Amino acid sequence: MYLRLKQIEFPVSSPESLKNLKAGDEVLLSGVIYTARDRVHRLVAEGRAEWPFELKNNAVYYCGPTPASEGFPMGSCGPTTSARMDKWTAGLYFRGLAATIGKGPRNEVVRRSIKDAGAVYFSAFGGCGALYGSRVLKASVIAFDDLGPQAVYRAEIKNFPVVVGIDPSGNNIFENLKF
Amino acid sequence: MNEETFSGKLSEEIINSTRVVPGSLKDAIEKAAAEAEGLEKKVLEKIVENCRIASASRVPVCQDTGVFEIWLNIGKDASVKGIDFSRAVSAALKEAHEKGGLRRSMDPEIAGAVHISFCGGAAVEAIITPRGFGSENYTFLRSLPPGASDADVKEAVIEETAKASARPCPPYVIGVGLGGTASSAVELSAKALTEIDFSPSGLEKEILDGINLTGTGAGGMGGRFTAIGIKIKRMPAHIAGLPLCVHVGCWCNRVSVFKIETD
Repeated sequence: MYLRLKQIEFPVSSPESLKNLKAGDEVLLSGVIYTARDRVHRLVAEGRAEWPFELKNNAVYYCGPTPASEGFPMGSCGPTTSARMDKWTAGLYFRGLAATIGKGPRNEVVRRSIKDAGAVYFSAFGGCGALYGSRVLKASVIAFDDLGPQAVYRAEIKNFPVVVGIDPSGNNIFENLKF
Repeated sequence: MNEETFSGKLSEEIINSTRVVPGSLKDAIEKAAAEAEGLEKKVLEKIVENCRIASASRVPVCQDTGVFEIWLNIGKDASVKGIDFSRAVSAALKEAHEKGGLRRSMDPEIAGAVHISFCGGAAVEAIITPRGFGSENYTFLRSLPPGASDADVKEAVIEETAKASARPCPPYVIGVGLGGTASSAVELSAKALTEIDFSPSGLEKEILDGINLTGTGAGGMGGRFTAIGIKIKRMPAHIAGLPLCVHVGCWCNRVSVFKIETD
C-alpha cells in the first residue's frame, strides 16, 4: 500500500495546519525556514540580540551549513543535535513558533511546551547534509553573518524529508530512550 | 617528496574524506537498509540516498566536516629531510577548507589533531578521519577494575553507548580502546574508528548484538540497527586498573588513507 506523504508549507497560516500530524509520520516540508543553532539561541537568551525573523507560525532549523557550491545554495545542510537547544526552546514555542527541526530526542520541558502550543518537533535524518542540500532552492544570510556557519539563514526549501518527533498532542517517538 | 607535495596530497585527501564514505561502510548500510522494516528502513534508505548525492555532486556527506584526526606513519627510511610536518598539516587544512567548501567550525589551520608514529619502510602513510562533534561529544572514559572480564567490558561498553541516547546519528559505529593509560585508551578508541569491522566475531560481535538489543534503532526512532560496526583496540594494562574508552561514532564514519613512497 502506498500512502501519499503529508506535506507542510512554512510559514503555516495557523497552528491548525499542524493538528493532523502524528508522531512517527513522515512529512515533506516546503516553503521558507530559518536556521539557528547554539550561538544565536544563547545571544537571544542573554538579551544581547533579538530574533531576526518572526517566530509566529514559522519554523527554526537547527543547522550550520557548509559554504554554498554549484547547485547547493546552502551547501551541505543536515540537522544538528536538537538536545543542545532544549534549554532555550520552550520560550520560542510560547511566542508562537510552529516548529523546530533538528535531530534526535528532546527533553520533557520541550515536549510539554510543544503540547501546550499545539506545535510540532520534526526530526530530520541525521548526517544527511548532501540530501538536504539538494532540496534547498535558495538561501541567504539574514543576520549574524560574522558567526559563519552559525549565522541565521533564510532558506527556501522543497520537499525536505522529516519525521514527526513530537506531535501537537505531545506524543514523542523518542520516549523510550534513556535521556 | 618535498613539503609542498605532501601538503597538496594531504589537502586533496582531506577534501575527499568529507565526500565519499568507505566502501565497507556503504555496503553495511545498504545491507541494513535491505533488511530493515518500517520507519527504520526509511532512515537507512535516506542515508543511502545521501551518500549517493554527496559522491555524485561532490558536496560534503555531512555538514559537520569536523576536526580532522590525522595519523601519520613515517617510515624509518623515508626521505623527509627538511619537511616540517606541523607546517605541512596546517597548510593542508587551510587549503582544504578554502578549496573544498569545508565548514569553518573552528580556525581551519588548527582544525586537526595529529598523531605521529614511526614504522619500517620508506613510505609516509596518512590516515584521515573527520570527527564531527555530534558524535565526538559522546566519548566516554572510565576505569574498569584490573580483573575485569570480557563480560564486564561488554556491559560497560553497552552502558556507555546507551548514554549517547541517539544524540549522535545511529546506526553507530563503536570504537573501543582498552588498556594503557587513560590518554592512550582515548587515542586507541579514536583510532579504532578508522578500523571498524562490519562483520565482527567473538567479544566484538557480542557487544554489537547487545547494543542492538537496546532497540534505539537507526535515527533513534526504534529498530534493530542501533550500531552496524565495532572495533576494539587493546594495550597491556597496569596491575591495578584497566582504562576503557568508548567513541560512539555516527554512521557517517569517514576515513581516507594514502601512502607516498619517498624513494
